[in-house]
This record gives sequence, C-alpha cells and structure tokens, in this order.
Amino acid sequence: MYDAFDKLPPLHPRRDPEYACALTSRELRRVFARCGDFRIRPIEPGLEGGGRVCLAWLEGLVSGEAAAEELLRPLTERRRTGGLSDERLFERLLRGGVCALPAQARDTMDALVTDLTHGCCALLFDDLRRALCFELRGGARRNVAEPTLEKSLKGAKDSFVEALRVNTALVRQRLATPQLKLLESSLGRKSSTQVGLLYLEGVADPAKVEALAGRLDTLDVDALLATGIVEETISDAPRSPFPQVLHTERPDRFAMYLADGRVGLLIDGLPIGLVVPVTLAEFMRVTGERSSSFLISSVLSVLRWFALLLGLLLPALYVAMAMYHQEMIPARLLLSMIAAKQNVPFSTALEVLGMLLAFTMLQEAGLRLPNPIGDTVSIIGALIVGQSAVEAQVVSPIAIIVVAVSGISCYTLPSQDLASAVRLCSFLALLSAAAAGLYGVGLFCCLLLLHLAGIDSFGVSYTAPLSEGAALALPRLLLRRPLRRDKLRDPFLNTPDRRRQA
Amino acid sequence: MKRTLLSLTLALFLLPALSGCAGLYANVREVEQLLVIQTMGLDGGEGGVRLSLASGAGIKAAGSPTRLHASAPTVSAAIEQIRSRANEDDLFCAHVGHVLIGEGAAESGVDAFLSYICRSRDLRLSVPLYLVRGGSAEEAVLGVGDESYGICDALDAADADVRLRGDGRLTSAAEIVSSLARCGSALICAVEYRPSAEEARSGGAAAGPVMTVAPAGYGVLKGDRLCGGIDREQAVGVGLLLNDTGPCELLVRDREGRPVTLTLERGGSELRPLWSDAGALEGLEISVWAVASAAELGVSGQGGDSAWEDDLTARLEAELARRVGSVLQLSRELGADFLDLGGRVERADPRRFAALEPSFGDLLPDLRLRLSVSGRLAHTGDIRGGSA
Repeated sequence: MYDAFDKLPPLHPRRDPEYACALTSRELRRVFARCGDFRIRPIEPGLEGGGRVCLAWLEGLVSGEAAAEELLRPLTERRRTGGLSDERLFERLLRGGVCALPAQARDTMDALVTDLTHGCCALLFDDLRRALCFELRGGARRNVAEPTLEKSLKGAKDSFVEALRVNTALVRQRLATPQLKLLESSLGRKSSTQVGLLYLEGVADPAKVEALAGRLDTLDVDALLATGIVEETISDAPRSPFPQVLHTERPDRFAMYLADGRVGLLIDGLPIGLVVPVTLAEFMRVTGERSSSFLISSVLSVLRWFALLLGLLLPALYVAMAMYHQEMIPARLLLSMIAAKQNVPFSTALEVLGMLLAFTMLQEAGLRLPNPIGDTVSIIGALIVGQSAVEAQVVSPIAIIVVAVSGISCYTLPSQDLASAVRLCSFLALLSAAAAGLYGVGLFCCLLLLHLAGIDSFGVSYTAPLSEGAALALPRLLLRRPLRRDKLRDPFLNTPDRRRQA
Repeated sequence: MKRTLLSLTLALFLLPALSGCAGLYANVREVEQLLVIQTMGLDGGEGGVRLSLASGAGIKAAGSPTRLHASAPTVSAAIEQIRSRANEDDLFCAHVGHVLIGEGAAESGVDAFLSYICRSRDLRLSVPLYLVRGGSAEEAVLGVGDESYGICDALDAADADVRLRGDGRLTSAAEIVSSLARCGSALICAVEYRPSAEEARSGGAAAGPVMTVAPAGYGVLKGDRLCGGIDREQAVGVGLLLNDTGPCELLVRDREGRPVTLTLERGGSELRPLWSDAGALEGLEISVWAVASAAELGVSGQGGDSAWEDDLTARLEAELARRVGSVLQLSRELGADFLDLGGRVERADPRRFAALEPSFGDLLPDLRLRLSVSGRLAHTGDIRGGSA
C-alpha cells in the first residue's frame, strides 16, 4: 500500500513566476511557440518607421474590428503619436491620450500571458521591458436566449450565457445597487477561469461570504471547466449524493437568491449560476413559485413533496408489502396482484429491481441520444418492451406501474440533481425492503434522515427549517405563505438585515 | 470512520433481534404462493370444531373459488390440518373478511370462537361475524355459488346491502365481544342460506338452484349463547333504538286501504330513565322520531290533502311503534340488554346507575316502558298534488 503511494507523482508544485523571463516580444514568441492562433506584429507609431513596439494577440479571442478601429488607427496617426519617445508614448497610451480604451500596464510575463489568454491585445515596448494591455474581447459568443431548463410563464425570458461579464451584467440589471458586490478571481492553473462571487452587502452573512471565498482559494486545479469541481470543493459533505449547491440558469432567480441573503457564484464559460447556502427545501421550489397564487403554489408544493416520497419509497414499500406484509394490501388488490403475478418466474424484489434498472437505463439512453432517436428509444422501451414483457409474463403489470409511477414522480422534482439522488436512494430503499420488509424501509428512512440531518451548507442545516425547532416549521416547509405576510428573510441564513419588506 | 461503520453494522444486525423482529425472514413469501382465504365458517362438531374456508373468486387465472373444510378439536388445529392439505399454496388468513357461525354452534356457545378471533395473529377484530340462521356455516361456505363465484362474493353483496339499508347492520367481532362484556348480550348480524333467484349456470334446472346467503336480521346472544332472533322487518326498530338508521322501505296502508310504500330517511331515539323518589329505576321513557317520504302511492294526486297526510303520518308512527315495541319486548323477555339501554341510563345519570340494586339486566324485564313515536312525512313526491 505504501509502495503505491510512493509511485504517485510528486505533489502539485506551483511555479511562481510561471514565466521567469524578460517582457520582450522575443520572449513572448518563445512562450507562445507552436501556438497557431498567436499573432504578433511590429507597429510604427505615427508611421515614422523603426517598428519600436509590437502588437500581440490571440486570434479568435480579440475583436479584430475593435482592435483596428480603437487601437491601431489612433496609434498610427502622426499627429497623435509622432515624435514621441517610448516612455512618453507609453505614458500617453496608459492615460488614454491616444485611444479611449482602458489600458493596464504589465511588467511581468505572467501578467501579460494571462491578459492575452483572456482576450486582451498587448502592446509590447521591448526597450522598456513593459507592455500595455487593452481589453478588446471578441470572438464567437452566444447571445442571451430563453432558459431551456427552467421555463417560466410569467418570469423573465433571458438566461445566463457563457460569458462572465454578460452574466454579471444580467444580475446587475436586476439588482441595480452598489451593495451588489462582485469579487473576481481566477481559478485553474491552465484554464485560468474567471470566477465571480456575488452577494448583497448588508444582506448576506459576511461569514458565509468569507467562507465561500476561502474555500475557493483552496481550489488548486489545472482546469476549472465544470461546475462539479467547484461544487465538490465548496460543499460541506462532498460524499453525499444530495446536492449542496443550487444551480440556476435564470438571472432573475439568481438575483432573488442574492436578495434573500445567499451568496452566488458565476463562472466564466458556464451558463449557470451557483448559489449557497442551500437547504433541501430550496431544491423543491420551482422558478415561478412566487409568480403564482400562494394557494396554487402551496398545493403544488405539497404535491412535489408527495412525489418525492413516492419516488423514494414506492418501489420499496411495494416490495416490502408484497413479500413481507401482505395483510397490509387490500384484499381485492392482493387478489389482482396474485392473478397478475401467477406465472412470473422472478421474485418481487428481483422484478422491481430489474425494472428500476431498465427504467434508469432507458432514461440515460434518452438523455444521451439526439432528440429524435431519444424519443424513439423511449417509445420502444416504454411501450413495446414493457408491453411485451408483461405479455411474456416476465414481469407483472403492477411492478411496471409501481416503477413507472416512481420514475414519473422523480420527474416532478424541480432539481435534476435531487431527482438523481432520490433515484439512487430508491435503490437502497428497495434493497432494504427486500432484506427486511417494512423494518428495512424504516431503518433506511432513519439512516437517510440521519445523513440529511448531518449535512451542513455553510453553517446552515440541510434540513432547515425543520431542524430549527421553530413552531409551524412543517407548514412553512410545505406551503408558500402569501408574499405580503412573508416579511422576514429565513432566520437560518443569519442575514444582518432580516426584514425583506415593510 | 471505521468505528462508526462497525457500530452501524452491529446495530443493523442487532436491531431486528432487539425489536422483536428476529423471525422476520420467516415471513418472506411471494404473493403468488398465497391462497387468500376470505371467508371462514365455524361450526361445532363432535368433540371439537368444524372449520370451513373459502377463497374469493379470480385468484387463479381460470380457477374457481377454493373451498376447504376440516374437523379438529380447536380452530387452530383445523387450520393446520387444512394447511397441510393445501398443496403448493400457503394458507393466508389475514384477509378473512367474513366469519360465519352456524346456528347450532351459536346455541352451544360462541366463546371459543370469539376467543380464537381475539387471540389470532391473522384475523382482525373488525371482521364482521354472521349467524347462519337455520343452518350451518359449513353448508353455506361450501354450498353457496358455483364455479365462478362463491360465498365471499355473496357475502360481499350482503354486506353492501346491509350497509346501504336501515334494516340491519354489520356486527364486528370487536363489537360483539365489547357488548357481551358490557351488557352481557349482543346482536349478531344474521344471514340465511337459501336458493338464489338465478338458475344454476351450468347443468340447467337438473343441477338445482344456485344457493346464496341473504341478510336476515339479527341473532341475539346472551352470555355466549344464541337465545333469540330479530327478523329483518323488526330490525328497523333496532336501528332506531341504536340511533343508527338508514333508508329502508315501510309498507303501510292509507285510510282507504291502499298500499303505500314509505321510505324511512332518518330517525333516532331518546331515552329518559324514570327514577322513583327513593332512587330506584322504575321505568324508561323512550321517544322515537322518524322522517319518511312517500316512495310509492296507491293513487297519485293526494299530495296537499293535509288530512290524508296526517293519517299517513299516524300510520307511519303506528308501524314504527309496532316494530320498535317488538324489539323492546324481546329484550325484556330475554332479559338481554342487547340495545345497550343500560349504557344510556348510565350516561344519563351515572351516580344513580352505579347504586342500582339489582343490576340493570335483572331489572329490565320488570321495567315500565313508555314508548312514544313521532313521525313526519317529509314529502309525498306527488307532483300532481302540488306538494312535492
């Protein structure tokens, strides 16, 4: 075992500086050697000849039109840049005397490389060993479009895109206050991904902001290209199948969470926002919950919780009752179950387990395949195979009904992460039921509750508000109060400003 | 972590034993292996019990109801005997929905049967008990129906009939045991074994009539023995006295002798004990009220005739008084308080009731009963009379 550890590669040392070389065009060419999209060309300021400075950029990341119009044209005008020494030209460009673009002076190769890879144009002054970087991001970008997963009838029709700055702007448009703070950092040694931490000052708990920033600082990976990397780093219980970071593709929902006192995270390149801290109840809320009548929202909320229980426990309860506790089944139902299962060769547990596996495989197949083929697979799987299996008496119809109802119940859950966790747990519940009947189901429920009660999300219990010991916690969990009466923010978020409305 | 896992594993192994579920795995059985018994018949036999069991129809894909019977010293022994004879199927008695007791067995005493039901791990206390009037439970269980349906279906139909109508009520084992313990007597729902209206489905007339069971009022248990019966017509009186009525038809004649069918819609009774100055119970004043409507008139167009309606109301009251009176009379004759009159007296005046000497059951035959019936005709349904 120790030998195996010995064979591990050495720890992940960070070289600082990454590129310990002089800031010149020659060295820059060496750094970007064999990079086909790297471009560098000498420029003659004021067209006076000599080629004293070089312009460098990465093709595809920079807007060519903006570079030509806003940088090259003023730079080559004799009346603006003619007859200036390098030092004076550098100073003038830095102060915006030549072009209106904001410029950043760079003295190290590391800073310059970072700017170039993030879509800046760099003007290198070889003699000064310095460079000026202009933000001229361009290239292919997706336009803001309608949300695809979180649709809402009455809500806004825009969704996050892959560009961090566009996403922060979408949030800023909704929370037009300087209290909306945005802490930016760059994560990932190779990807150098921009991450924005957003919160409302005076509303969000400063301790939670600090905690999230601290956890992000500990993230040291080569490439930050998926949310899972961040999620596992900032989650309190990363081994739990239950989601502990809430995703949303809707800026309005994201802004609403910030206004509630939560902390948000936007990652460049990912069209979703992450929100912490969260509780289990948050994953059961839908986007348009505050847009419809509290009565309708409450009824639908109860229905979703019921669906959660069905998805989690129905196969297990069926197996427990069919194998151990037949006296719990009404006589007529028992008789029809007996008639339906008369020639089925498998035990009830195996039958349901097989159907659950088949259902999960079918679902995965439907998700991975292109839409038309996915639909065909679903139809073939659900209708033809299911019906044939019943006719061939391989499975009983009631087992199919139980598995189908359980599967459909999982689809009603607003969060697919939660639905996946519930589906996984339903397998465990089923095995417990097959092993020990209702006793096993009860034991499973106890262990599940123990597990859920043990999860904390940034100091907030995952089972809040039930775990807070507050009066009427269950109705508050299941029902949505009229908004006029919902004056205070959730107490467990520990917000400095508790009041939400007058 | 290792310690937690170890503790958890130990707990998982120990908890079934500690919770009394150690024999859990012995309970595993697949549903298709079950022979679901839905009706149980109990009769007295020579030196023991004759047990008959029947499953509902439709258990096997193309099978008929299964009917089994055995004789043994006890019910449990008889069940074991049948279990050993049931080939591949596991006898499953948790869904017994009807228990029939033969009249002969009921006359000998039902204590052993009630004791078995109360202690059984399979039977529920809410299971309805039936007395097979004029016959044995075994012949009803084995003889009712044909290949396609059996006693379970017939009793399901009888159940629905009794539940919907006001001239009977189901009596569960729990109710009977409780009533016997509290009042010393109890009512038991009675059915009679008789030919059904339909011809035999197979074999034609030569196969004889298809037998069935039908509601037939109540049997009266005193102590643990059957001591009397109330037919279905008088059973309306039981419902009124127990404040548990349902719709039922009453046939009366109007002033011109034409038959009129009235539907009893609701009704009830109030009881007031009559105490002497010395604190002795002298009698009971029972006021019965009922609301009825005309279901069928001999001749229409009488609606709006108040004299005719008053006359009809008076006849309704007389009819109800006759039925209620006969039930009260039976209670007095048998000295059996199956109507729980004692309980109502106790609720009216607990202190005096506690001081009663002798007990209410002993006093009942000599008590003065003052019965008054107040009826009301809700509507005649006579559209031509204009008072519908």
